[in-house]
Amino acid sequence: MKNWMDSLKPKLRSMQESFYLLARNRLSLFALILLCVIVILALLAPWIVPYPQDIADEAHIADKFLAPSGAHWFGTDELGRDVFSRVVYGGRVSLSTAILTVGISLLIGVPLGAIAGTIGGRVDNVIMRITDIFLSFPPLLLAISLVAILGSSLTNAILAIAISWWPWYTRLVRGQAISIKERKFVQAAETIGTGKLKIIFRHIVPNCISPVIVQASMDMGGVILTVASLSFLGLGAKAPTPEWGLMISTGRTYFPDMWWCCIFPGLAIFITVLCFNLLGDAAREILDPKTRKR
Amino acid sequence: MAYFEINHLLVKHKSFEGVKTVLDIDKLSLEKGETYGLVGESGQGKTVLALTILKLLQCPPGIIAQGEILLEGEDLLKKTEKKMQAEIRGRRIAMIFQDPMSCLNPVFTIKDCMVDTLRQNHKGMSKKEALAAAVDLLKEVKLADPESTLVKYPHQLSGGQRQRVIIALALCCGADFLIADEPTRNLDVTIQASILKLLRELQKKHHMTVLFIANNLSLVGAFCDRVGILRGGKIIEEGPADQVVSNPREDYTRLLREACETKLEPTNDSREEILLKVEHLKKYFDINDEVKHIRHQSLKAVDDVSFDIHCGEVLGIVGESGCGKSTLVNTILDLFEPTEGKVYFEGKDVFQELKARQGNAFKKNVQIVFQDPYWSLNPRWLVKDIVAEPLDVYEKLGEAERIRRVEELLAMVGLPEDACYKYPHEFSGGERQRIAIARSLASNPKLVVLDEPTSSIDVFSQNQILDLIKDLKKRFGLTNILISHDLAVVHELSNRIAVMYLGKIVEFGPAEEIFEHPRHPYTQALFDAIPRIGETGMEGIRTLEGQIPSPINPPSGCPFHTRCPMATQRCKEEIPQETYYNERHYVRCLYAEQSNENGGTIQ
Ligand SMILES: Nc1ncnc2c1ncn2[C@@H]1O[C@H](COP(=O)(O)OP(=O)(O)O)[C@@H](O)[C@H]1O
Ligand code: SF4
Ligand SMILES: [Mg+2]
Repeated sequence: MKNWMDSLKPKLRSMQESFYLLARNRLSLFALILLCVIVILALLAPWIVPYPQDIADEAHIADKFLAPSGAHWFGTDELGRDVFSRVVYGGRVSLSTAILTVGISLLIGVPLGAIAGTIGGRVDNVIMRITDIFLSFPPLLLAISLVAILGSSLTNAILAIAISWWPWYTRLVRGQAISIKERKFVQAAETIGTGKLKIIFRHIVPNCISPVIVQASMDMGGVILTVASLSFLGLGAKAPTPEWGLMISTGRTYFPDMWWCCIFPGLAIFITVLCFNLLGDAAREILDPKTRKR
Repeated sequence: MAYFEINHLLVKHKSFEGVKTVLDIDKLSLEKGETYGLVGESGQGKTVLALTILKLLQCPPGIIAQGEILLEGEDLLKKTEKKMQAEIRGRRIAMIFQDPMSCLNPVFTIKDCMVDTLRQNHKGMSKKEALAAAVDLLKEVKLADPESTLVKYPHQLSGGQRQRVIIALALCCGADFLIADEPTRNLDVTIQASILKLLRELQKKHHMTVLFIANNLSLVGAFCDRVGILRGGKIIEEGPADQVVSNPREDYTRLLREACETKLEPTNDSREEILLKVEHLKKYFDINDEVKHIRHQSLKAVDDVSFDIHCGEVLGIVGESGCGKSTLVNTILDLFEPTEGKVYFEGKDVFQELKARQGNAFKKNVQIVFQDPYWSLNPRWLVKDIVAEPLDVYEKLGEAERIRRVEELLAMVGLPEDACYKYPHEFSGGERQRIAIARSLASNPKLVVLDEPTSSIDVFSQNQILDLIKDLKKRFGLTNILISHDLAVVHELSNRIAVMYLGKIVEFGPAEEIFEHPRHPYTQALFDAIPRIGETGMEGIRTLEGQIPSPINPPSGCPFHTRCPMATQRCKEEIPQETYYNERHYVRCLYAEQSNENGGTIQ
């Protein structure tokens, strides 16, 4: 137990240091705070939104298309549902799909890339040819065709995006792995007699992970956009799920008169994606070895 | 008024841990044409000073709290960034960095780079004129074959060549104040000597003022007129070079001085049994020449090397970078596939065992410590996991026992217990090397290979590391292979020495014999390149000119003939064989017998 605590301390210290470096840049600190707010709102959505029942298919036709006001901050939609409640709740949907999608892609992409890069030769060839095949399709197009095959639902959209996304991580990690395996500590591990698997997963992967974190946080934004696009095209979330893309899609019929139905979900997408990108930039700066003392 | 002056300079560094003072210099002044040497260990603020002068210090985290830096009476700190760029940097003050790679753009050829700089600085210069000027400059820095150097990319040049290009770039714009920040760090002793000679010549010719930064007192003593010792950001001692070196006032300076003196004597614990035997080992790399489009050439990195090591012995391997020292041990250690030859460890054929997957005993018994302690430790692991890596492979221990063993190993190499729970980046170069040594001892090996264990760390920590190695060797009855480009380092510990050139052993014999009477002209050249403490002036340093030839097309006959001061026509045609002086000492030189007759050096 004591040892465990002891090994935790340095990790905490390096996290503190990362935060210090991050906080040095106002913009990234702002992005981080905003993102935290978005995540907290999303987590607490069921308890804090003013009209939780509006998340479902409930209709109050009498209240439809109310302009933003004190009672309905973002106005109401074509069924009289509170747009604010739905936008906040939508964060839950978007964030969880983004995390799931990126998570699945990482789980497939990172180990494959590390194995390809480290072992090289035939294994590398096979893995990279497979990724090449996936990479030769534009990701959105591939996702759309996959959903068309699997049937349109949010789960299938997540799967489809993950399938079109992992090869990017494989490519990225493979490149890293190739350069990391030349580092002397890997050669030292080889002379010590450390097993191949341990070398890949304990030496190579942790050292490849910095650019992956940067990429992944940028991709979170990208995935949110893609999910929204699929939903917008009717290939992702189904009504009445409060998904941002879907909300824009339904709302666009009434644009520009009932602008609030589109603008607020749109703003939510914009801000979240921007935050993830800013955070990705910040992560790049922090993880760049040049800004850290060696 | 002095030519260059620093008054009351205070520079701070703001970080996660708080604000600390990095530089606190009361006064530093240089007369025109003077060479001033600034000496200190790493981390004392030498680089920060150089960067501050040019206003290149990254702020934040740096803070220039107060002070003035006067160049002929003008305060550089008051100048705007634009003015610095247009008038000072390059034009009046040029800088040579310790890492030449970082200031050459890897995507441009040397030609692009030089022509660009020249044309930026001399308005109205045509491309053709610039090219001619570039060639002249490269000739001035004594680069052999400037035309072919021009079309190369920085990574295709050797360290010494790169540093020469940087010096040429510094000359481009006619600056007359030169700041050289450890220009010879990580370079071979032979290259170091020739770079210093070059700098001295250029300085005389262009009447330049030089601020020379180094961590090695003997270098500075030989090269500079005046010396300042920097410690903790303060100049603690200053004076004429010979006086500071021969008669230091501060204890710290005395320590720096001692660090340059060889004082260890190898002990002879070698026993009869042979631990490792290498027979006709060859390692050829198959390479493709991208520039000339020639595929599958063989680069003979190790070419027919045989030797054996007795139990308890220290074998030193010396030679310039690129002569195949590391390839040799890496091949022995199975990091590279051998091309030909055999290695026997305790009588058993190693490569055969490894093929049959029975190499565990060999791996456990043979460990290596690499040159660069920055890359030989996984930066994401805690020190306890790094040191325990061999334990995890060979002994499955419970966590408590594991920690106990790690603490024991750390204590052995002189590190405190709390080092366990730190990351490698929290340690200095010397300390990291200790961690690497602790790891190499964890599996109780019989043979520890030390590949340039002191080359990337300060002279100051170098001796401590050598001391430690010697001490551990005695305590554990280890056998060592010690590799270095510096004959002085090898001499401190080795019982026998092998001198390598272009993949071949050119001289092999007992250390004292080689040290007293180096027989091969190459061994002599390595000797002459070592700067000796207490000698001022550059006269004592003789240099070995010319580049190491490419191992792809090694010269005919004796591979050393292109640089050998005594080469004759015969040397170009005949391959010298081993000539024995006694049963333990041989040399590969056609004129070896003669040198034997006149009792020592070949003249
Ligand atoms: N941009 C900076 N501003 C202020 N201090 C710095 C900066 N970069 C490094 N330092 C600190 O300056 C100290 C001296 O470093 P350095 O100049 O590299 O030493 P040396 O040149 O003697 O090796 C270190 O403690 C380092 O943390
Ligand atoms: S053989 Fe000739 S070239 Fe070679 S080392 Fe001897 S003298 Fe020099
Ligand atoms: Mg430095």
